[in-house]
Amino acid sequence: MERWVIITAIIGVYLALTLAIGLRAGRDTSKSVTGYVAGDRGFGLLVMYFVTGASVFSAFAFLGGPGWAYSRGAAAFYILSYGVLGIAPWYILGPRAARLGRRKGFVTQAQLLVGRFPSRGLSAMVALLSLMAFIPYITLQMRGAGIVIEAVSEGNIPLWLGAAVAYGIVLIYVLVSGVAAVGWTNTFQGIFMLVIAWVLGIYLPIKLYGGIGPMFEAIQIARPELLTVPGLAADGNPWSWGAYSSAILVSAIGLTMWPHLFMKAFTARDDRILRRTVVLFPTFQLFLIPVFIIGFAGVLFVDDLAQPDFILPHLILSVDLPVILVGLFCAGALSASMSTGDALLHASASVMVEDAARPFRAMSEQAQRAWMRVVVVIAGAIAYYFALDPDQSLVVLLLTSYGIIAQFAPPIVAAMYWRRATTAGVVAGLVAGSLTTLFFFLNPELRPWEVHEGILGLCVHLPVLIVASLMTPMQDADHVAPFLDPDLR
Amino acid sequence: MKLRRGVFAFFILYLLAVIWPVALPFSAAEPFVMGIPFSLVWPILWIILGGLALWLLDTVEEG
Repeated sequence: MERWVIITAIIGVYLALTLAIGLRAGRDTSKSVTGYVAGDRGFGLLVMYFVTGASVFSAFAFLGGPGWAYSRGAAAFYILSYGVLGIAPWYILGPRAARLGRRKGFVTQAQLLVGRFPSRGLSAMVALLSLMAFIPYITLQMRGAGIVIEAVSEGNIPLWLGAAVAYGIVLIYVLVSGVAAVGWTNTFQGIFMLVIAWVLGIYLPIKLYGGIGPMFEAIQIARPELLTVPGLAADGNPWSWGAYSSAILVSAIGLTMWPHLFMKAFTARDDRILRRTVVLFPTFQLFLIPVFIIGFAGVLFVDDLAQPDFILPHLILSVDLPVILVGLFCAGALSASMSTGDALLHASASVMVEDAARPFRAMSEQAQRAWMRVVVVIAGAIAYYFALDPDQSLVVLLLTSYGIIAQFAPPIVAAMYWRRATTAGVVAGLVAGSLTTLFFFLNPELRPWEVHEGILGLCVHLPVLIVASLMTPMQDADHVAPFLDPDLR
Repeated sequence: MKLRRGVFAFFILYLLAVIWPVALPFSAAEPFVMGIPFSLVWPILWIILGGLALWLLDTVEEG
C-alpha cells in the first residue's frame, strides 16, 4: 500500500474518533439555550484548561508559527511573548464576568456590555464586530486543516476537499452537541497535540542536526538574521520594532477580549476553576517552544517553500519517519485546527442569535437553538469561501482578527470598573476605534512606525470613550452598583 | 490588595521587557544558553516568571 494511503487512513480513524467523542458529549446536556451556549455552566478544571488553551494552540500555532519561524525567524517570538501577558488580566476579569453572568443570566460578552450600557444598537454592533473577527480566524483554521490534508496525501486530497471534510465533521458535532462537544473534543485533541509536538520538537533537530544546540549554531552561521529579534518581514527585509512590539500589545489586549473566552467564563462551574486555568495557562505557552523548533529545523533543509505555512507537514514528510508517527502528527495538527475552529463556529452562532437578533425580535428557546444552527452553517460557509484563496497567510488573518477584538477592551473594562462611563461614551468610542482600525487596515502605508492598526484604533477609541462619557449624564447609581460591586472582586 | 498591585506592576514590567526599547539589548542570538539563542531564551524566561507570579498570587489569595 502507498505511504500516503496509510497516513490518510490514520487521519480518517482519528477524525472518526473525534466525531464520536463530540457526539457523545451532547447526551448529558440539557436542551436549553444555557445548555447549548454555556454547557449548563458545568465545566471542570480539565476541560476548562484545554478549552482555554485551544484558543492559543490553534492551526496558527501549529502551522503559522513554524511557518514564521522558518521564513521570518525571530519575528515568530512575538507569539511567545503575548500569551501570558494577555491571559493575566483574565485572572481578575474572568471570575468577575462569570459572577456577573451567574447573577444576571448572561451567556455572552455583549449581554454583559448591554447589561451595563442598555442599547440594542451596541449589542448588534458587538455581535457584528465579533463575527468580523471570527470569520478570518475560522478561515485560518480551515485553511490549516486543508493544508495538512493536502500535504500528507501528496496532493491526492486537495485543500478544498480536506478542509471540507474536516469541517464537515466539526459542523456535525457542533450542530448536535453545542458547547459540550467543544469542551470534550478540545480536551481529547489538546492532550494529543501536546504529546506529538514535544516528541517531534526534540526528535527532528536530533535527526537533522544532531541536537537542538547544533541546529541553532548552524543557523547562526548561515542565516544569523533569523535569530535576531524582530526577525524578518514577509518580503525578507528586516521587520520593524514598531510592528513587532505592537503585534505583542494588540494580541495581548485582544486575547482577553475574545467573545468565546467570555462565553467559556460563563461555562465554568466556579471561579476557582477559572483562576486555576489562568495560572496553568503559561504551560500552554511553553508548549509552543517545540513547535517553533520544528520550524527552525526546516531552515537549512528546505529551500524557499512557496507557502511557508506548509513547512511543518513538508518537513515531517521529507525526513524518514515511521509512517504511524507521521499520521499521528498530522492528526495532531488537524486537531489544533479543529479544536479552535469548533469553538469559534459555536461562538459566532451564539453571538449572532443572542446579541444581534434576539434584542430585536422575541424568540422561543427552540427557535434560538434552531437559528444558532443555521448561523453555524452560514459562518462556516463564508469562512470556507475565504479559506480557498491561496494568497491568504495564516498570520495575517490572525492579526487582522486581533485588531478588531482589541476594540472590546475599553468597553469591557469600563463596564466593570468605571462608574462614570455612559452608553453614549461607549458607543462613540467603539465606533471611532473600529473605524480608525478599518482605515489603517485599508491604508497600511499611513501607519506611523508600522504600528498595528488595532493599537492605532485604541489610541482614538480611549479618548473618545472618556470625553463622550464625561459629556453625557451619569448613569443611575442603582443601575451601576451591581457591576462595580466590590464583592465581585 | 497589596499583592495584586505588586503582580500588576510585575506584568507592566513584563510587557516593557518584551517590546521596544527595553527588548533591544536582549534581541541578539548570542550568548547561547544551553544551545538556545538568547533572543529565544528571553521570552521563555518571562513566560516562566509570569507563570510564577500568577501562581504566587493564586496561592496567597486562595490560601
